[in-house]
Amino acid sequence: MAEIKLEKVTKRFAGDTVAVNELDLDIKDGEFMVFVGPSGCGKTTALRMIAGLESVSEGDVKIGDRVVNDVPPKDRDIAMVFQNYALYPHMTVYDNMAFGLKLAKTDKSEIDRRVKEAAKVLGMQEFLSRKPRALSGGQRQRVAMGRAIVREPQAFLMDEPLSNLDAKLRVQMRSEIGRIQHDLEVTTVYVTHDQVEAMTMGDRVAVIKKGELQQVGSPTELFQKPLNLFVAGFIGSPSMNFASATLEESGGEYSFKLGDQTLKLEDKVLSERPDLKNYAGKDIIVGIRPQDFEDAELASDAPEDTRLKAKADLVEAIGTETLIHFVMDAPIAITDDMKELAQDAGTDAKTLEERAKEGKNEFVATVDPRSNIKEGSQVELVVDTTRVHFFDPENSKGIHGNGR
Amino acid sequence: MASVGAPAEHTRMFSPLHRRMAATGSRYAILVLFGVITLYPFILVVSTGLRDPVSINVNPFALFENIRLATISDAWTLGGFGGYFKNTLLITVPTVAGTIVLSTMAGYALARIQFPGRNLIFFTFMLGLMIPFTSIMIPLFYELIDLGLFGSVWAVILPGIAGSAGFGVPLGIFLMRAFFQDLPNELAEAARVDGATEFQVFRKVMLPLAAPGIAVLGVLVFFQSWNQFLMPLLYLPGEENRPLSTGLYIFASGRVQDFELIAAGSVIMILPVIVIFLIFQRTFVKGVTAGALKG
Repeated sequence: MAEIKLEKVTKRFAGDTVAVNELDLDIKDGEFMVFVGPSGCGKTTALRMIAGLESVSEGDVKIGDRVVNDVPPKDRDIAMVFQNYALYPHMTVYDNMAFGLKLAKTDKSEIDRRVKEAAKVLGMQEFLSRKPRALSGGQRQRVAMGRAIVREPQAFLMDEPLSNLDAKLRVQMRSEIGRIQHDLEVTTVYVTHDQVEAMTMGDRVAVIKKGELQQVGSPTELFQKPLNLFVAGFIGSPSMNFASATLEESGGEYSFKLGDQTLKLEDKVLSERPDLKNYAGKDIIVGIRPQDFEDAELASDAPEDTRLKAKADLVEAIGTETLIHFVMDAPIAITDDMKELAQDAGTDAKTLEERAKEGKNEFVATVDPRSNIKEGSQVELVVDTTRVHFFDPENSKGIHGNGR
Repeated sequence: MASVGAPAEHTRMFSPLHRRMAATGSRYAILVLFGVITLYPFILVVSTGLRDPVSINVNPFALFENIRLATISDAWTLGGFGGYFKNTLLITVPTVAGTIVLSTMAGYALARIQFPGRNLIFFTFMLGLMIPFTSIMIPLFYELIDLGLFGSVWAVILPGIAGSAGFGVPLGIFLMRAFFQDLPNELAEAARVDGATEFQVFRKVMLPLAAPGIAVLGVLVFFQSWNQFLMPLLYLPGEENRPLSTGLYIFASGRVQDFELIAAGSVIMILPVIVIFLIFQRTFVKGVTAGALKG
């Protein structure tokens, strides 16, 4: 077990494409670190550099106290779980798991003990003599995990190990991997593009965009205090609603305007975000999480200046919550981060710009399932204004203050 | 196609089912005809090789009129085919083994290891497939004399591996390189992370997965080496190292009247080819990599 340090790690591919740019990260001993980001953001490249499958262009990768830049993968004492499992098709489950130990010339009885123990942990005892092709996707995934576990390595590296499983199995394996990692206390780096996976599994999550680290922190930290628009939009499901707004001040009272509707800010918000005062009279980007809305009928004591009126275009009752889609008359903010997020959600930048010109903006609110909101009806939604997020349209950074 | 259950259907002479059966039937008839044309000479040879010599002169084309296994053993001992068989093995086995060992290693390196001049080396090997044997057989003749190999089995084995008469390493590299290129890179990476050296990646992971390719190469080279005629004729003049191909030729040209022995010699020569083909036929089917990746 060891800590992993990335110090200004850069990866440049031929043609000067920068896949990873000056990545700085300390992964603590025994920590479960998740790299998350849209596809092509460099998270897998970063993982492969830790594994030694990709050379490091600049900077240092350290495992324990050792700089491993020029150490071949076989001497790094790490185990990796691949996206497509990469099981050796000509070997049985047992031999797949034992392969690394055999190469290390481990004692036969010790190999047998470790393989059987791992098989027990994974519930694979009865499949040890099978070949991978005779296994289901979930079972293959387990073998891939087993192959990593038996090695008792310094670190586990996992490259989207669950992305080939169906939704149900994915949830099950998610908790299983979490449990195994917790029991073994092995430093783990886990790459995924699924932010739900990242949030549920990681001790800490590193959000990466275009090869650059955006923010690293605990899941709650990322959710509650995103440092920029990208992190705010990427983390959370459904994702945060953004709109351009103007911050107004009159007699020490602050409020912001979404279209022609005004929401008042409490003093608490301003004391938490002292920098916000500097933006009085200026344009800002406001972010409201769907979860911070509530049906006004179920929160009748909420003051008038925390309410938004709109028409419910679409109502989706999931059971645990109800999703209300509505259009706000506030324009979409266009920044690089917004474009990146739109692309990740399957919309291109052009469509985004066209929508911005119309001055309309699609919002999603998740409200209590007891809500009686009907599709097509006028609704009133209460916004928890203490939890609204603010961003500078110039640099996409969150407006916090106090040195943040 | 008429729609099923249309009212007019029962008035037609042929229903779609009948038509389909007729089409299948005629297809089979054609295939059977071609099968007979292809197989008849072979069956005739086998039949003649197993017959009593006296009856052949009475009715040369009768099939399996009688079975006399002694004809085969006569050919083996009296005709000298036992010795030819041994010589053929001594030539074929090293040729096949040498070609496989060199081709798999070179094919792997050319497919999966990055080094300068990689493509140049590959295309140079491919030249070996393009040079006709007839253009080099005389220079090779003198070269073998100079090397002191003329007349020994090596005079046929080494050029055989090198692909002088086609196949050999050039074909092997071509085949194996393509095969190794198709194997998923993740398997090699998984092995490397598991602690394998580059040679162990090759030997323990990639080579077993290339088994179908190796089988194809092995069988092709075996067929060619077993049946080759011109090289042994030119470079193995004496009786001592003579293989079946030239042995049969010289035997047949010397004793025209012993049809049953010539046929029996042919059977001795053909039989291993058939056996090898039947054994490796299944390995031809690429099924081994199934299950490596999500399928």
